[in-house]
Amino acid sequence: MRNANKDLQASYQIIQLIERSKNNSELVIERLPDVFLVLDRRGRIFKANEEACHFLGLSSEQALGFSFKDAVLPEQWRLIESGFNNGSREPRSFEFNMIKQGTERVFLWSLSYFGNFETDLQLFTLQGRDITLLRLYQKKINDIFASIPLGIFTVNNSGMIDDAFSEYTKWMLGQNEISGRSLKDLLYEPAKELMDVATREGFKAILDSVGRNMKEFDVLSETFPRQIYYPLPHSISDRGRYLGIKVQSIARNEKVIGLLVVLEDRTAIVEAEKADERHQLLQDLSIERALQLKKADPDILDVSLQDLHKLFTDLGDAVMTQSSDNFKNLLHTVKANARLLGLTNLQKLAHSFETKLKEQAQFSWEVVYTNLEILLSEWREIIALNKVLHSGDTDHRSSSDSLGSKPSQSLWALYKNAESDPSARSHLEEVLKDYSRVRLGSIEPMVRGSALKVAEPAGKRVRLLFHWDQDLNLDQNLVSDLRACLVHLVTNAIDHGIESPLERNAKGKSPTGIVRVGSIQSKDGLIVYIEDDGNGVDLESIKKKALDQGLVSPEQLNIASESDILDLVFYSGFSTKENVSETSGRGVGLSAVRDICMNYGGNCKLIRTQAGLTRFELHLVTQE
Amino acid sequence: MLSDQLRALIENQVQSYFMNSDVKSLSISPEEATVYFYNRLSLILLGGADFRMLIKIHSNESDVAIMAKEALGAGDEVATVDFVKELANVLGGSVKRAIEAAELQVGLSLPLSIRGFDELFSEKTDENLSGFYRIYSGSQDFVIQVQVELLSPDARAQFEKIQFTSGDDSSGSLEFL
Repeated sequence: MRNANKDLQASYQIIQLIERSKNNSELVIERLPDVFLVLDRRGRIFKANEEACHFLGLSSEQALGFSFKDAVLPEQWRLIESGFNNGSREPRSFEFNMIKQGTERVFLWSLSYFGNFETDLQLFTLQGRDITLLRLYQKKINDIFASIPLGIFTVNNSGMIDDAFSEYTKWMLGQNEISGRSLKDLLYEPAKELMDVATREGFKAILDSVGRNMKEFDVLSETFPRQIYYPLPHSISDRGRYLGIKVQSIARNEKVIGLLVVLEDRTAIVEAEKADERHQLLQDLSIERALQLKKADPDILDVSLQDLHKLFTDLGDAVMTQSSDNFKNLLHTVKANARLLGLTNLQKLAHSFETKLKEQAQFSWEVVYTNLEILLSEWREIIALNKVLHSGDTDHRSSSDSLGSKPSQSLWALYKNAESDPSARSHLEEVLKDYSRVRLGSIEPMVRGSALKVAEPAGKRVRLLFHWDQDLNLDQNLVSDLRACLVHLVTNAIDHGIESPLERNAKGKSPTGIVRVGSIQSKDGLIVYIEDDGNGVDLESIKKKALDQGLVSPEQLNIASESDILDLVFYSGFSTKENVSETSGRGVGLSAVRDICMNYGGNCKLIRTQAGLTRFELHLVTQE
Repeated sequence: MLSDQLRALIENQVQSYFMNSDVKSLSISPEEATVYFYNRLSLILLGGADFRMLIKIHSNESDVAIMAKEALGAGDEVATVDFVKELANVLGGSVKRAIEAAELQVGLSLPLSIRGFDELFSEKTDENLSGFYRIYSGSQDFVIQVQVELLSPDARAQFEKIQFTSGDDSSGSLEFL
């Protein structure tokens, strides 16, 4: 009996231990910081910890049997239900926001199968973690991440780009969407045409490196390209970016399971490097030219340069008259003269020009247009250099040239001198005047740009040829006025004069119209001309217009010479074009051109040349 | 019917345990019987050679605390647990006496009371003999569930010999350890 009593006592104690242990395990669940629930398919809660009760706003006793379905939105419940029906018993995770005590919180839920009780009672555990703060920090990190000016993304083991990437990547690649695209499709395909063989092979090695072991990756990574040129899609200009590429492996168990790619926009750096190289090359060329000019016999040099000058003028004429044989002969003579003078660069350019012409089955004016400009610019450089080298040591130019090296310092010294010594003032003024001088050739880009703007929309093809008599330095106000005049006259020539390629073809002309702009030094100044081989000036039309607008009387017209009639176009309000276009035809331009010329003590003329060209001449007095 | 007798026995025992005639019992048919959501489960097991009988009390701690305070004058956790465990013990003891009166061998376990929602399911439960009784005392309630499992073919015949009557013998009530 005593033993039985002992047994009973022992049983009682073990029951007490079980009760306590159960109590503790309940406490553990109750005090979990996450929402913890056990529920069945209908959403009935079989267990809810403190956090869950707090979340539901119920007491622990009320929560039992309460339907969780009623606490969430229908679409959120559908998400949970889909987890119940998930065939596999793997835990399912999903995320949705819930309002907790009036604030919206983000919860990450994890649903797991718990067990089967009786035949139809299946229970699941649902654990919800409040990740609001986590998401907030994540957003902050993302904001920082997005503002790093680098393209950063990862590539998974099937070569696709993962969801996490720096926002900057989109901008850098000009793409709206990146995630879910393959690395090949995103980076390689658009750029492969522009890659050299080594880069292309290197890029293929990147694509091939996923899935390999680390040793193989290390070998492959030696061939990865460091930089590619990436053409931007949808870019108005054809510009792309130079992208520095760094690829790192994401490895697990010594096997590459993904790649981390970091892109850096190196465009500015590469362009600066290129500009530097070009500058260096130009400098080298200038030195080379200078040496060649210095080496040449001064007597021969002067004569030969004059010959070359004549040859270039004739080359221009040959282009205007479309005389191919003449052009070929002249080009050859240019080459010979250049060789004689030891101007190797000019000689080489002329030679390559000749070669290119010979490569064509038929003489091609297109080849002429693309190469003549290069030859001319070399010629201009030579003239300019020669002028500097042989401008003598006597005139003021030498002082201003020497100033070039340290302008501000020397100017300051001159100014100081002029202050104390009135006789030095004229020297200062002289120097300052020189400073305000600009090369006449500097107006070319502007004129070219305007010509392009007019020709392109009108569907016209135009070749602009510049031929400055000497590369003059002129007062910058004059150059600026001339620029305005030339812009107007060139656009005028294209708009009114040059015909469309079809019309030109029909007239037996080359489809590309030619507009020549140049200058000739005259006795007292400068003549600037603009010539075009367009449809010429219609005298009858000018007469009619002038009569219609009441600029002249019929009697006056009867006695007017051709040049008088042509002069009418400079009258204010005159325009022969029926329709006023965006670019010309308003009738104020030509009168303004004449006004400018008159301001400089000159005048302007419209001439019909014997070859049928239309030529404007602006006469300007520049001698002081 | 056996289950009616059992119900009468339990009602009688509960009323005398509470010393309160206001206590009402409401039996719940097996069809209605489902899962009862209370946060404490107290139980006691009666085991014979051919059957097993589980008496479970599903209760809410807050309700039992009030009832315990009324009955014992103390409503702390220990008193609450003791109160409900003792009820299981009283019910177990009275059923045991009835079974022993039918000359059947039966053993009675010590009562167990655990925290949290728990339920015990058995596929061998005999629904005719088993029953659910919801007990009301004031605004508090709890559920007593008697779950009978028949383990051999002739267990039913044995069981039908039992007269579940409370009788007037109170000498058999155990004083718990």
